[in-house]
Amino acid sequence: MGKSTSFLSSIFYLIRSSHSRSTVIITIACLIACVIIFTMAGQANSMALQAFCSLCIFDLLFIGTALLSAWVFENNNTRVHQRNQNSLDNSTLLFIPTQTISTFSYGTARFEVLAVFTSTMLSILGAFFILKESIEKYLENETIHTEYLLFASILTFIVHMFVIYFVRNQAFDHVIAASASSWLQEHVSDIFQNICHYIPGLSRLLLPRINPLALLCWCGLTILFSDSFLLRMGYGNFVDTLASLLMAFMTFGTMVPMAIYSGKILLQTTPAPMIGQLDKCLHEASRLDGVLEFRHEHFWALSFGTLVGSVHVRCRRDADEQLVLAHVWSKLANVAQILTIHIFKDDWLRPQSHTYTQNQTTNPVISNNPSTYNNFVVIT
Amino acid sequence: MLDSDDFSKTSKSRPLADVLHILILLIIIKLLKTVGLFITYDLLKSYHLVFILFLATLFTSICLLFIQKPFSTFRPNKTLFYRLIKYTICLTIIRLLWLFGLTLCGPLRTILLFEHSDIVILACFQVVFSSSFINQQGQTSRIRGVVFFALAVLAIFAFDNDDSRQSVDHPEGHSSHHRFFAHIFYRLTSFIGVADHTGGVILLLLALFARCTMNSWSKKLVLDIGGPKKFYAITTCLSTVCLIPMSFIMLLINNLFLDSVDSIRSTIEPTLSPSTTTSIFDNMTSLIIPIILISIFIFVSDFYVEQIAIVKLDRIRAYRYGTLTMIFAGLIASLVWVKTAAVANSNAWFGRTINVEEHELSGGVVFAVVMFAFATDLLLSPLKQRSGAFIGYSQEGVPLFNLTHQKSQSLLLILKSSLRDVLAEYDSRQIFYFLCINLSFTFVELLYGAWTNSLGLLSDGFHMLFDCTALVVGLYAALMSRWKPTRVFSYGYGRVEVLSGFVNGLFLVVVAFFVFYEAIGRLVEPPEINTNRLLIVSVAGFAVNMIGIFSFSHAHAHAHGGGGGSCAMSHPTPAKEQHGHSHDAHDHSHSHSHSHSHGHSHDDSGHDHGHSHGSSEKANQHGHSHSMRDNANMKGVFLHVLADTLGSVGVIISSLLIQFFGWNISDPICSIFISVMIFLSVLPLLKDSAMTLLLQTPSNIQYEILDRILKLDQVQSYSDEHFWNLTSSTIVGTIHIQIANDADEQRVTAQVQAILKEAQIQNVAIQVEKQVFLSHLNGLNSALGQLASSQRTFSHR
Repeated sequence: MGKSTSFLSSIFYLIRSSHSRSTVIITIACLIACVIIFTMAGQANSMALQAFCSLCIFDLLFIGTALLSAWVFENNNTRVHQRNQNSLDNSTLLFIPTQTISTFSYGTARFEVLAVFTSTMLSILGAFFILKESIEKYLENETIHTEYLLFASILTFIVHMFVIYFVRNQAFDHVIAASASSWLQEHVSDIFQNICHYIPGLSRLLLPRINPLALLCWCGLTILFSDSFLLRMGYGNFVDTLASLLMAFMTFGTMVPMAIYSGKILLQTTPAPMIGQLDKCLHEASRLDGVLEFRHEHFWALSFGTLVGSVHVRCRRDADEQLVLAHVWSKLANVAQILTIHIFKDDWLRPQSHTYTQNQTTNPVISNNPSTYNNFVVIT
Repeated sequence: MLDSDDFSKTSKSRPLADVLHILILLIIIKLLKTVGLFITYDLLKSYHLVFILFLATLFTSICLLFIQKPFSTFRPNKTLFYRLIKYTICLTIIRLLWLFGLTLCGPLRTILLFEHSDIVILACFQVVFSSSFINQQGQTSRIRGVVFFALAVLAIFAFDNDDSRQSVDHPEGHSSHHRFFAHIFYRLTSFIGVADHTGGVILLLLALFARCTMNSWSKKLVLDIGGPKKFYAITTCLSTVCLIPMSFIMLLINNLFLDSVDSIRSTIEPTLSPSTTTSIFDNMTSLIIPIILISIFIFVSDFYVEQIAIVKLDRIRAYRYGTLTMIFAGLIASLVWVKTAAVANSNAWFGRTINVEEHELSGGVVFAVVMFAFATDLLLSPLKQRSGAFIGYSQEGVPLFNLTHQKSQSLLLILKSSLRDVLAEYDSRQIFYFLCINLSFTFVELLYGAWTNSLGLLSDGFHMLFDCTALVVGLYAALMSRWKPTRVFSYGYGRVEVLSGFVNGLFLVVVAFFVFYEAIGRLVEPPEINTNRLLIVSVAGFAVNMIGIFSFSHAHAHAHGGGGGSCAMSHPTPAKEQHGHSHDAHDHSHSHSHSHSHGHSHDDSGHDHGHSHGSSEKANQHGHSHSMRDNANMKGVFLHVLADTLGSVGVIISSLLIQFFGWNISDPICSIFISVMIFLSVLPLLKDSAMTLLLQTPSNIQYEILDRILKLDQVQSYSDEHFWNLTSSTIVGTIHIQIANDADEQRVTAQVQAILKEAQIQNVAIQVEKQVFLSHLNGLNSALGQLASSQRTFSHR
């Protein structure tokens, strides 16, 4: 509940602050457009139009994600600010266990990931629902009114394009840039490459990666235009079902890579592009003096671009733990931003005298090391 | 022509300029073949196709005998001869199918559908059925080619309405010569329920596939005979022999029927009678010239030129130009031919006037032409050969490649192993049985709906399939959660269940939204609802529901002896009852499915039993084992079941209200109520799973744990304490602890570990820091990361 109140207050904050006022205006405009479009879609009785109009709902989710990521950004800033203030003002209080075990110990950065996942997943499920509905509609075989078709689709197109290009959305920008390309993107880029094979001058224009959401919108508009054309030609409901199926599959194709990308982050996995670098660092760290092996290596993405790691290091019994810790830390800190290194030794409770003699007899090299902690007397 | 330079670069054959004459020859011959096909079509209007085929092959075999002299060195043994005979029969059948398709579809569509090279078709199948989906540039273009091909076929199949033709020819009236075949065929097509033109499309596609398989099977046979030319000559001769008896029979039947039909026609149309009563013999003479043309164009010259082109050009290039030429030539020719044919018809060119409308060009056909051209181009483009993954260099500096691809298992093996996995664990088994029950009901409903042609049942079935996907998601997640941890999923797959619970929650939100949306629509204009059978059906559904609840309590009283197996086997009787009651469902939907769309709610009666069954099992399992209660995945599945149960209750209430008070408005109100209920019931699940996904600190981590850590000997402070639920049962934590310089790290670690283990935190990573650590880091000039707080600790001390 605390979360929801803070969320509400942050929304109020967003409305009050100047930079997001335009976003709020866009939101309201989008809502109104959504209502208009959906009434028209209901009137037209065409599933293809409904499938296309579900883009509008996605737009609302998109704006919500944008607001959330702005909120997260603000939150981080204020948190850092507060922390600094704390450290300055009552630094003596630091060692008293403050009653602030925060509910989100990693901060709120993960909210954006969840928001992206939710919005992509909702549109996937919506597309799925539309798939089913369109089959049912095909069976029912009701007449379709074509008069609203063009207007509603053009309105959707405008709203969608406006939202995509004029609402700043860091989270989605990152996901679009980082996730694998959808099949739609892949085919379009393949076609464009073939075109550029014949007309090289267009390469500047056509070859860069296209925003998948914009591409989805363009393709949907094309499909709806041909759909309304064919409907006016009198081809019947089959065309409409086909168009809505196509729209649903395109929505699937566009959203699935993004959902997979954000879902993998939610599942606490290592992002694929990081694996190579991480392996290199781990390999280097395992060669350090005193390190025997790594166990339980967990490296996972907290949010977009933040890697959290925890690793258990088994080190030699006579090694200086803090030195090993520092070396391993310095290797891994370049990759993982938040790091916990657990250092453990085998049989550290064993009587030290035995170790001492063993060291003396078998391993004279060790004496070079300033291993002061080797001579601990452990009372059991 | 378009991409000739491209080809000369990629293919290893000769440059285009050297073989230009062969290319031109190929194109000319293909043009002639197109003309030949059009002539054949005109001939087929007036003669039986077996007869035409017989004459053409006869002439062709005479030609080939002179050119090739195949039997001079041909000494077959017995098995080879049998194989030849088999091939010949297949060939003849395919040709007959092809010609019959030609009579039904017209020449242009026949060219579009039949004149594809084997490579194109094989590439299509390879893309569709290949298991190893390699993401590479060539693959995407192949997929696009297949999609274009499918679109083109679809365009011909569905969007090519030659209305004028369909209105004219009713079965049997088209042409009496094809009576025997046509009669059977019309029976078939009317049984399937397609127009005869689309039936022709199906025939041509069948013939195409048959040709491909036959060609690929007969490769060895060709080599055994000794070269394709000789093989062709021999099979053509044999095919002629095959056709002799058939054509004689046809001729006889034709003559008999011809007279009767002619007499009928002469009575109906007396003006035409003089021209129709010409004798067979006259027809023969006017037949000779076109037959010669056909056999030369289609069967002789085309074959030889294609053989030459395959040798001299490339195989791919020859096929590409051949197919493209034929497609476009067919398009142009059909534009010209339709006009000339009309003239020719009026002139009674072949000695007989025909009242058959021509196949006209339509938008669908033009679209199909374009699509086929693209598809041919894309599917014939050479695929870049993947030579295996690059591994590294050998000791001599030679690059090494890994040629072994992933081993693909057989489908049966995969099914078996996954079934074993499913049945291994309790909750996945539950979901699986429930899914099986649900799916079987769905198929019973779908089949029954298709059989009785009831729309309501069909859409019910689709709705249930839709429901089943939630179960499939849950099942898959339950399976996945048991996979071993991998490099990427270092914590194991346990979180998949949480994610699947979240997705199922979102699913229900979508369902609630759409129900709400439809209800709003119906609130504005409430439709008339016939509650005649609705109440019976919904009460029956509720009764089944009660049976489910009863069986649940029954199973609960038992100590859950037989496990999942008994659960599945012990409920065949409700399944029967379900079947009987779906009859009612059919009736009710028949009566009112046109008047309204009931959205989500009315169809729940159809599968309520299954759901209640599942819920009983769910509850049963509650009593059985405690750890399942917090499982988000199972909770999601359970909520889905609950939502459907809610739906049936809503239907009962609304139908009661409508029946007794006539409040039609109660139906949308009930739907709104149901959607709100679904939404509210899903919120806790959504919140819980979202909090787990967001790594919320679990509430049962008390401050006193951290307090106890802090009170340990030598411990100065802690920082970066992170605790979160990995799954519903396991808690993971990491913590940094700052200790005094003279303390022992391992000791503190062990103590902290013990404290955390007491608090049920399994997977712990503890970083123990001293002041020395920070000075070491300073010395190493390392990044500090999140260490600022611990640095402060030490600096303030």
